[in-house]
Amino acid sequence: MTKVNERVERQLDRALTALQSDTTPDLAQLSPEVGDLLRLAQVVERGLRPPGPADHFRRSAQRRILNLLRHRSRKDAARPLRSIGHGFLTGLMRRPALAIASLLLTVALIGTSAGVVYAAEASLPGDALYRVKLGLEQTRLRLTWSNGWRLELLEMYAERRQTEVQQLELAGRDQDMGPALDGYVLALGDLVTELETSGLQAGDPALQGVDRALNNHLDTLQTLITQAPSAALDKAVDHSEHGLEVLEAIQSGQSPSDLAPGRIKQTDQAEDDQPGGGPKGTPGPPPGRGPNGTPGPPAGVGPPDGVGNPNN
Amino acid sequence: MSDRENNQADAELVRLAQQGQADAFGRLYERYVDQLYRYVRSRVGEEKDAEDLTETVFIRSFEALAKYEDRGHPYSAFLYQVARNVLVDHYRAAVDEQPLENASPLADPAPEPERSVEQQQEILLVQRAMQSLPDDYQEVIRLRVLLALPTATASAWLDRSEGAVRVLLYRALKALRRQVEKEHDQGE
Repeated sequence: MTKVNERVERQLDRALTALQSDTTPDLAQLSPEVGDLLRLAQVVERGLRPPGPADHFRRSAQRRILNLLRHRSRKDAARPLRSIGHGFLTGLMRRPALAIASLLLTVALIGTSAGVVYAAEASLPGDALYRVKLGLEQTRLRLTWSNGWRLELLEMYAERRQTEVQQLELAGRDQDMGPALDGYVLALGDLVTELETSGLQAGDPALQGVDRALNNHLDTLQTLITQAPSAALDKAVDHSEHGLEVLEAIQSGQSPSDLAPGRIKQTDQAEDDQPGGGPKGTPGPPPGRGPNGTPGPPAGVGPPDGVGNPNN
Repeated sequence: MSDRENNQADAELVRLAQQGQADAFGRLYERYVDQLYRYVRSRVGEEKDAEDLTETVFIRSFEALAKYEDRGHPYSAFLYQVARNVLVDHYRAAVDEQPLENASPLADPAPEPERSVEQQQEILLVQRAMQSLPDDYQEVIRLRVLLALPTATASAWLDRSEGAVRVLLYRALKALRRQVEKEHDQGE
C-alpha cells in the first residue's frame, strides 16, 4: 500500500466519522476522490440505513428474554446438588463395607429424589415429570402460611407458566401448547384470587411486585395473541386486567371483595343496574371491556378458591 | 463514555450476568439491542424475521455466557459473532425452503413518499451495486456506514486492525462507486 493511499483512507475515515457525529467536514480540505466517496457513503446511509427496532418489540423481547434467563438461572442454582451428592459418595467409599452399603442406599435414595426434583423443575407441559413439578409447587404452597409469601409464590408460578409457554413456542412443541396455556390461565386466576383474599393493605411491598408482574403478563399476552389468538389467551388477559383492577381497589382503600372477576366497581347506580345475579355490590364492566359494553360474566365465574393449578 | 469505559462497564455486566443476575444481562440487552437489530435488519428484509433473529441472538448469547471469557474485546463483538452465526443458520434454513437466487441478503429499502422517483431509483441502483460486492466489502459498509459504528468498534467486530478497516472501507466504497457507474450505464 502506498503512503498516498494511506492518507486518502485516513481522510475518508475522519470525514465519515465527522459526518456521523453531525460535524460537517471541510470538503475543501479533502481530495476530490474522498469527497466523491463521502457523498456516495451519504447516499448509502440515507437510502439503506435500516430502521431501529420498534419500541414494542424492544420491551416485549426484553421481558421474554429475562423471564427465560431467570427460569434458567433457577435451574442452574439447583445444579450444585449433584456435585454435593457426588462428593459425599466419594467420602463414603473410604468407610467399612457395611457402613458403605447403608450409606450408599441412603445416598442413592436422596440422590434419586434430588435428581427427580431437579429434573422436574426443568420439565415442561407434556414432559413425564411435569406433574411432579406441579405437585412440588402445591406442597410448597400448602406449607406457606404468610399471605404475602403465598402471593409471591403464586406470582412466581404464574411467571413459570408464562416461561413454559414461551419455551414450548421456541421449541416448536405445538402439541403441548394447549395444556400449557390452560395452566397459564389457571395460574393467573390463582394469583388474582389470592390477591383478592389475601387481606393485604395498600402500600404492602408484595403488591408492587404483583403490579409489575401483571403488567408484564399483559404485555406478553398481547404479543402471544398477536401471534396466535386463542380463547385461553383472552381469558388470561381477563385475569390480568381484573388483577390490576383488584390492585387498584386495594391501593385506593376499597375492599377487593367489591369486585368480581371481570368486573369493577364504578358507581352505586352501576351496581343497581348490574344484571347477572352477582352478589350485592357487584359492579358492571369498566368502560371498554366486553364487546359493545356487554356485561362481564356473572359473579362467581372465574377461578374458585383451591382451583387453579393443572394438577388439581 | 469512552470506548474503554464502555468496555469496562460491559465486562462488569457480563461478570454479574455470569453469576446469574438476569438484570445485568438485561442492561447488556438495552445497550446493544438497537445495534444488533439494525445489523440483522440490514441482512434480512422482513421486520418480523429481524425481530425473531435478534431475540435469538440474545438468547444464544446468554446460553454461551458460562463459556465466555473476556479477552479484551468488547462484548458487542461477541454479540456480533453470535448474530453472524444466527444469520448463517437462518440462510441455511431459507435455502432449504427457497431457491438461492430468491434469498435477499440486503433489506429492501421501503419506498418513502417524500423521496422523489429519481432518489428511489438511485437507492435501488446503489442497493443492487452493494449486492454485487464481495462479502467483506459489503460488511464494512454495513458496519461503518449503515450502522455508523466507530472505526474502533468496527475493527473489534471484524477482528481486524483499525488501519485494515480503513483500507477495507476505502476499497469497498471505491468498488461500490465503480459498480454504481456500471449499473447506471447498463440502465441507460
